[in-house]
Amino acid sequence: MKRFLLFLPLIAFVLVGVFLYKGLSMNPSARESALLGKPMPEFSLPNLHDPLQQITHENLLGDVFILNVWGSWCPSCYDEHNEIVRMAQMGVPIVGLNYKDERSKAFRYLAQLGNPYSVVLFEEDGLRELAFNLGVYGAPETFLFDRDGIVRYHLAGVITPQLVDEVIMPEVRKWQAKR
Amino acid sequence: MASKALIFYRTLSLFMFVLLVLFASSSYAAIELYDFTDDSYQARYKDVGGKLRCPKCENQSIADSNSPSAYDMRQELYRLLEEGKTDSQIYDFMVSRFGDYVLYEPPMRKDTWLLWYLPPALVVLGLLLAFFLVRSRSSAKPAITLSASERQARIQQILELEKESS
Repeated sequence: MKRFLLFLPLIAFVLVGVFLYKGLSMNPSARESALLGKPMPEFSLPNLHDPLQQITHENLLGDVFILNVWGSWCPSCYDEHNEIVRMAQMGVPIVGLNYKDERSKAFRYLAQLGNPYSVVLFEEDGLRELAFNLGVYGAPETFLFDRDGIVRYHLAGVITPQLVDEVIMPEVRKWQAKR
Repeated sequence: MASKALIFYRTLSLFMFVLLVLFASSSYAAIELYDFTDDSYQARYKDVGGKLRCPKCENQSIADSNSPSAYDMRQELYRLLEEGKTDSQIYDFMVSRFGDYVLYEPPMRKDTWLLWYLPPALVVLGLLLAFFLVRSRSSAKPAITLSASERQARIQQILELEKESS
């Protein structure tokens, strides 16, 4: 017993060491969205390409789709754009949410990189209509909605080819197969 | 000569004063004007704003952060206060969008009890350990018990030693 007590500090040190070492490799900004399993918030936003057309949550429901939050001011959005295009080519409807941007800059962005979006919602800076209620705190962010408009997957950060092939597309197919 | 030095120091101190005035306030993160309809809202705005964590910047409250998401949250905080919402309603509103992450003080739940109780439990454990260690050490030298005759013999021995030395 006495012997064992002598080793107690060493054991405690090793335990704390392992715990802290694990913490070093953790990504502090990776966390689960509070919206997972929750329905799409109600909203009404203009179409980027047609300011007079208001789009609401009801217009989007019925099919599995991806919502991609982007802005021309966001460098990482340029990085992931190819992957958005690739997913669109695989037949996934992708709704864009142009976030804290200006129309003219958004048009330039799409003209330069191509427009993979079935529709782009335009949320002006200062408007907290949809992105805020989705818990968006930056761009890019990507959400997957099922047929009932429930959030099934969320990513805060850049979509990589690996993520598309190994996570996002399997999720899309899974929720498309339901019912 | 002395007056030249004086002028130099005067100019220098004036220059530094101007620098100080110009840049002193730039360290304040969020300068926005809010018109509260109730005086108590202002104190609660400060209090709640300091307890909500900015989602974009891990180590800042929304009151401290310059990020656009923190700005949005302050705007919503102001709106909710003006709507007469209670503090807990405001926290729930933020958590339902940004998760528990935004609370600097985590909620007490089944999956967070370790977070709350482990540190005090470790302190208690440490105190107990220290207490028992100290007690076992003080009682480590067991008192030697002698029988009456042994005691007499020992006393005799000591007395003889005393005699010899003196």
